[in-house]
Amino acid sequence: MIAVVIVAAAAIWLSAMVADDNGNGSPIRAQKNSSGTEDLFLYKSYPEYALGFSIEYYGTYKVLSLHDPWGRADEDYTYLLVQRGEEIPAGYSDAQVFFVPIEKSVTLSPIHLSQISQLDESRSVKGHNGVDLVYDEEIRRLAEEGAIEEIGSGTSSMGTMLNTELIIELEPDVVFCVANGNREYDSHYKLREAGLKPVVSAEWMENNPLGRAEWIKFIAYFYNREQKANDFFEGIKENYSAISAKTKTLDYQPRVFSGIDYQGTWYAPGGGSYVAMLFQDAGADYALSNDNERADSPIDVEVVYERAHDADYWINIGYNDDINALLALDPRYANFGAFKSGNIYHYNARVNAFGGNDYWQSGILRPDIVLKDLVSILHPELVPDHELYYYQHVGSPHGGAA
Amino acid sequence: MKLNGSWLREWFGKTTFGILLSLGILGALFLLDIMLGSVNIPLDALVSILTGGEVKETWATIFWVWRIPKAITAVFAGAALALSGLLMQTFFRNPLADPYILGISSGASVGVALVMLSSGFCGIGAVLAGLGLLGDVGISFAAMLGAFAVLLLILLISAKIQSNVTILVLGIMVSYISGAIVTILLQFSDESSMHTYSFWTFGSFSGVTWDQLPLLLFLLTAGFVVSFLLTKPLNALLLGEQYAASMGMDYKKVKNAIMVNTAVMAGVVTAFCGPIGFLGVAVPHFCRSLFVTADHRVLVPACVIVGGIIALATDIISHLPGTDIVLPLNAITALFGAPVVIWVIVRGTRFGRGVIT
Repeated sequence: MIAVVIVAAAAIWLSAMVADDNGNGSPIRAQKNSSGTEDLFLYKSYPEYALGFSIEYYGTYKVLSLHDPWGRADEDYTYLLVQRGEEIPAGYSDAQVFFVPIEKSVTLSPIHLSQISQLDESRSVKGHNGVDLVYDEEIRRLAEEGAIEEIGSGTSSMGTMLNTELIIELEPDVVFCVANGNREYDSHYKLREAGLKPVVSAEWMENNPLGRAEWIKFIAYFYNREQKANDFFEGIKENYSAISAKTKTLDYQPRVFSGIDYQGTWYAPGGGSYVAMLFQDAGADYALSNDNERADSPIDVEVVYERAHDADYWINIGYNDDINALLALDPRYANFGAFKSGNIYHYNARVNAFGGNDYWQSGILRPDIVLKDLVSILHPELVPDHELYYYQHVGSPHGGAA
Repeated sequence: MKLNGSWLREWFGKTTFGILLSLGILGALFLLDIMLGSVNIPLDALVSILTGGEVKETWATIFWVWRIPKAITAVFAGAALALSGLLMQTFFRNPLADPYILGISSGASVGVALVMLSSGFCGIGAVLAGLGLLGDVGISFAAMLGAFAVLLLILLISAKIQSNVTILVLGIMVSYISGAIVTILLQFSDESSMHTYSFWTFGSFSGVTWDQLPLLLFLLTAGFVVSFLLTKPLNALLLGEQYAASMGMDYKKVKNAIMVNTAVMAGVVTAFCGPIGFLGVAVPHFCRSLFVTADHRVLVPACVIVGGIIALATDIISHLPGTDIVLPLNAITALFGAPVVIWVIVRGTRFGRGVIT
């Protein structure tokens, strides 16, 4: 019996050593799998909530499949991630091949940087689109040292302008791009034409807050950082469910609405969106959840007023910073009950000098903190020690930061 | 009575009756516009809102705060766009001229872009905002400023230019320059400002509040009055500049009056409602065909009324009564308006009464 325990302890110790090795990015040759071939990937990581990707492990390589969120079959990609020094397997003629762990990357969205930074791989980033907008301090320091170059105009949709020549010069193993429903705005065709290896991520299309956070695994596959991604995500998941469990037994659910009106059309997250899910898990009754649209759906302002005029809270005010900005946009906002009572909250507590908002960066990875913020706003007694992190109160007439 | 359009033409041919009938339609559509909406307010509730009776407070608010200003704006904006389209078509003797041909709306969009996109990390907007020049001003004010800057430019240059074809080219060039400036601003702005800007370009009558309504009504009514005063010179212009001059018309004065009037009307509408396309170019043709005339004594009032009618109709459609959705106004004006205009014009040509410009 004692022998068994000793052997088990030794095994754990050994695997920990191996994990350290893995952490340094060198290939591991430790185990043989049942069919006798080598299995180089000791730690495996499978998506649990995210619907946009799936992975299969085969000894010396992994097959990462991207499922286009808009259902376009020709936009489903297969990425073949082959361990460095191993041969490229046959039978994947359509797949883009990457040798992992990758050493140099270029990122087009700040979300990628938050993910990479969480995986302790910030040093691999050589170029980024919109360095000024990055909130992460480590990344900013690297950029100031010149380790990360500005390779674009900062925006990541219609107006993306990339300095392709500079990207080519940086010789990245991967360029992380953001999926866009419109091919015209998708940079990855251009990049592929230039002989680069773009990889498209689509965390923003997931309708579950945990699903969005889980895309850290997608990035981790390229760095062989599955273990770190798993540990991180399990922690987030536990925190999240612990907080949402507290709100399940409440008798009272305050009514919440969201979004803003622009010239008579109200842009709000639909009932099937991750925002609606966050509200629900935070113990709120989302007044605009009638329709099951997942993205922002344009609703007539009349309808919003009828459904939400007596709602208790107005959470998320679009592109506005505070109550003054709202009034400047349209004084008719003052007709809403939540406006009169000043119960307006927005996720702009962490914004840098250039307008880069951490809610859209580390916030994507930390739905547990976002949820805790919301619970703290709606049911402060449930999380008495929590101080708002991404959110702040913006409902007082003279600047919301107070 | 045959349903092939000729009966319609006969009726409308009797101008007074036609004008009265279209006034009636305008009134009916106005009522329809305030009755119909995404929120279903029953008729008896509407009656008690109007008579001050007991009614759900939400409904009263929706009615007074949103629907009424929207409907009034639609009538006046539609009329102003149609009128300025008419003025431009006659002035340039070009059937494709529209209220924006002088570059007015492009100027307005530069103003709006400067305000909206200045929050980004681009230099120009940030510098202006920093100087307090364009930082805190409202979107409508910025748009008007941009429109009048363009007008001033056009007036300055046109004072030295005889031919109005040159002015036409000038206007188009100004549009290109403005477009270029907006593109550069967009390039350096963040996503959120880009979105806000694109919402503005969708066009809408719903953005006008009670506070803004008096200014809008005052400026547009002034534009209507000036247009009525211009009917005689406009009729003379139809026969050519030289003929008009030989009739004793002060061409330069008339030219400037037409341009300023158009710029004020188009600029104000763009400022408050965004760049609403199509109406301005189509309604004048529609009126010429419907009333079978090129006489501005008929066309000016006709454009005011029919412009209002089309604007109200498109507003009703864009709000898709009974649903929660709103469609962009600019999509509706063209999508539903164009086939109607094509129908009217094609019928017109078959009877040998094509578009007269």
